[in-house]
Amino acid sequence: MTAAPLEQRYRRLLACYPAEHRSTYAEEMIGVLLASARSDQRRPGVADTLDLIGGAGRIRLRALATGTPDPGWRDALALTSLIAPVLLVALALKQNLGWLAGLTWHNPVPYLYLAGVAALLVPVALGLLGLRRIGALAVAATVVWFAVQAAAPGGQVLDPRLAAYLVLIAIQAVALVASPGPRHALRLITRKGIVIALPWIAGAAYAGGLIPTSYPEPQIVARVAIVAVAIAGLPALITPAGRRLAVLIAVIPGSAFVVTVLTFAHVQFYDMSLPAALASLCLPPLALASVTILAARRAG
Amino acid sequence: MSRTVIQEPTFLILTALAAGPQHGYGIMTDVARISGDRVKLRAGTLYAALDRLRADGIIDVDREEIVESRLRRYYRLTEDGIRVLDEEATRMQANARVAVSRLKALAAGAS
Repeated sequence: MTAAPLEQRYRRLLACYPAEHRSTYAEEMIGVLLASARSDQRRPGVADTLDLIGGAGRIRLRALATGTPDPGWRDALALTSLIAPVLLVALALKQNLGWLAGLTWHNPVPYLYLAGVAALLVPVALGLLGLRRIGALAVAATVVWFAVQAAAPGGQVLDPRLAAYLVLIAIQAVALVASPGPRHALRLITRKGIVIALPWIAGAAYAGGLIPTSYPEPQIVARVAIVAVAIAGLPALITPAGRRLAVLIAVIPGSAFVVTVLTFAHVQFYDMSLPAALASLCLPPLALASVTILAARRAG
Repeated sequence: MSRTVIQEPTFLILTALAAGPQHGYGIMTDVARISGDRVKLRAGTLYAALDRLRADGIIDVDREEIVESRLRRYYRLTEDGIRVLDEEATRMQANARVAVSRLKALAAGAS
């Protein structure tokens, strides 16, 4: 009996396809794949495997291009369009918290800096006003500006921080164009969800060092906090939208990691060890994603 | 409606369906036969194309059957599909005619 394991393996490959496509074609495709297989075949061939993965990719790209991604991705992208600017502002403020805290009324107000931080919220504000595409254009302009800065003489093309920023901004642009946007995300988040998620978000922010502390806490406390928040955020991964949001967000530390490896410099940024730095980028949005388990009523 | 040139696998799928409604595996084997085994469609490519053609209204589901407890869905050309295949075949025929006549002239000039 060779059909059963082969069928199971084909079904695993079909998991690459959007749920909607699977519900329409999976049984038919399995029938065709098994009919095309050799009688003694137990595993999908390389050519069939690549063809199925390529087919899934084409269908997902077409859904993205025509603005009809499956509901799970649509919700995840909508949440990303809301979370990304919040994270960007948090990162931008964190880098200069010491400087801001040191300012007194004798110092001039850093209007330019504050305007720059506020500008990061312009795309999401446009999205909330129903102007998603104009918001995406604003994001695209920011990417170009960052890229020009990075490519300029003395620019930091291979700075992991810049890579994380750029990827986060690019994801925000895609999320604004390919999803119903932050308005839809707000509808997914209920008051009860926010109340329950707040401790997770606060814990993630603490673990990631987004909230300053006035004393050097022992590293073990930070590590325990990271683990605790990671466990608290795990429920988000059991909803389709939560899983997809985690994939989107994982691209950010992933890109920073790749750049870090490429530079062979050192595995540190934000003055943290690499795991802590990755956690600081991953956990806040992951904790926010936890809201979806409580609130995404139509995330399936 | 603007017309785009369709790719060879799509052309062959539509040609297979011009013979009458066929199921997925039938289309695969027919496409191999029409192309003299030059084009061998696999399930991923075939169903990405069928999904797109259905969405564009070029083909539609003719009927469904359960054979040996497996779903077998038959597809057919729609009116739009017949028109698209006809236009494409005519275009290819015209191009081929020009190519053949020029090759003949080239051969005549060389001899």
